[in-house]
Amino acid sequence: MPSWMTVFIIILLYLGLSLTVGLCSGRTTSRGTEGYVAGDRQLGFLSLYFIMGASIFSAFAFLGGPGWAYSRGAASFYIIGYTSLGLVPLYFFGPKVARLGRRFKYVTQAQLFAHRYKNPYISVTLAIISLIAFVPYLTLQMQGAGYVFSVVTEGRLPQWAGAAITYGVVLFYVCRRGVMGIAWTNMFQGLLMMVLAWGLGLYLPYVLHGGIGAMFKELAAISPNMVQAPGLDATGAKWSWGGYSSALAISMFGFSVWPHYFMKIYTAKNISTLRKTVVFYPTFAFFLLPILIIGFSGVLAFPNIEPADTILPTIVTSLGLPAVFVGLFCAGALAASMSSGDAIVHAAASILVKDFYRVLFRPVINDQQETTLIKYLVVAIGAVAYYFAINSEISLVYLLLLSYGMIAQIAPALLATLYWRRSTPTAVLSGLIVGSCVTLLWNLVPSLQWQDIHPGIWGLVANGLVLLVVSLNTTPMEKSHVDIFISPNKAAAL
Amino acid sequence: MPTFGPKLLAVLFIAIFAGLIWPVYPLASRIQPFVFGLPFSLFYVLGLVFLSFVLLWFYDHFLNRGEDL
Repeated sequence: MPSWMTVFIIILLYLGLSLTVGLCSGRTTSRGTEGYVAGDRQLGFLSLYFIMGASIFSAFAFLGGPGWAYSRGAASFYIIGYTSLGLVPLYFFGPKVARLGRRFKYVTQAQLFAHRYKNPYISVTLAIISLIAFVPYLTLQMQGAGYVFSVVTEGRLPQWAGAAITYGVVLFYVCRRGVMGIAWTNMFQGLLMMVLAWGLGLYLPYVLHGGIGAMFKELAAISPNMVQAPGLDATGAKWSWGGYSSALAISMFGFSVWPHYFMKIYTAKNISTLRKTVVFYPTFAFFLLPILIIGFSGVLAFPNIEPADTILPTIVTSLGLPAVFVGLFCAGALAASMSSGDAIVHAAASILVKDFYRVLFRPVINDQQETTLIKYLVVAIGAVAYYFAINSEISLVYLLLLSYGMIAQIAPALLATLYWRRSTPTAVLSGLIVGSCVTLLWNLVPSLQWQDIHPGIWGLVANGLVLLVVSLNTTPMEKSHVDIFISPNKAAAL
Repeated sequence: MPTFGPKLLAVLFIAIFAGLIWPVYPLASRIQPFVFGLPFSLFYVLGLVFLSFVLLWFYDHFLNRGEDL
């Protein structure tokens, strides 16, 4: 049997197992949206830990992470920084959001904002920003999956077919089981990713350089800028501190407000489970260290690989490893793609129904009909992303960079929602819109750039200023309503 | 002595975050000395990240009184 067949069979086994796990889960959750979107708010520590970890680390972590280390060296350290610390703000605001969610039956992020500000347009704006960010993200996950298939079958199975098979499985379990399908598959996929990353990250430098220390010493001697921050930029010249710092900052501010992670706050069984998940989440994120080390290990051993994102599959397939290991690696890369893709498609469909369709058109539908509608949209959004994935004329990476800047614009609104009494609906809405437009403008007009600072940072500055000035010049909201959000304990006591 | 509450915790996290970016990180971004086989620049980032993990765990385990933060 040719070795690519062995690899292919392992991948199919992995997909079969994912499907089985996905379909066996969540049979007991209720059939309405609270069950389908928020798992009846009954997720325990392990499910929440893996759903957070595995949703965050996508095909980008598995392919792009080593690619960054390989082509830009120490610039990639910023990824470790923001992914490990990014969830910390959730420790502060998460419990409050979870309590409000339970009390008012929220399942999406925008429901909280719209309720706090009694303004449906905030919800619609957030739905639009979320979708702009989600679709390219999902498309990239599909392309990653298709790519893995085409590499391991040596081109026998084209990229479009690989993406279709993988996401066929994803859409099936997401449709049938909703968030519970995601939770259980992510547990299995997350474990696979962690084991593979640590295994390969420790093994490859040893094989290629005789150890991690020896590898970094060799690299430091040949290319010093490679191993000390801020590393290199995309052209291979030394990157600027402005670029490094603002990339870290914008990713960090945006991290905990990404709508599909934020929504998982509502799934927690109780507050201590949520806190514990945030505390232990970095133990998942630490797996980026071996991932980056894999990229570094390729610099001297495999020079001039283009594009850089293919460095990991290139190393794995050219070392003459047993086919079983190559198969497991590919399954790991698919796991990374699927465990993010499932959460994104599920969140996108839920948001589109709850925050856009329901708010704007006020249809008369019951809870079960609403769940059915979300399921149809899971398939529809999957199809749109798939269309982009196989007809990739548009630069997706560009869209993705833009979306990070856009998502970060939600952070000031969240702060105002939970901590600033004086903030007003008009101010939050105009802050969001101005912030997003400034981010877009700075993206489109490169001559506005200064010190390589990320466009999203300018967006945040404008957003914050608008929020502040407009709030102070509009009528404050009534105190009894605001108290529910700012000091819920006091409001409940009254 | 002020009590170790959520405010102090937030301040410590802001300090750790500041340590990861300009102008603090450039001071520590050097190749030498190598620690555990890693260049100092990388060891420093991992050190801060690990510190933040221990800090949050410690706070959650010993000091958190369950109040809204």
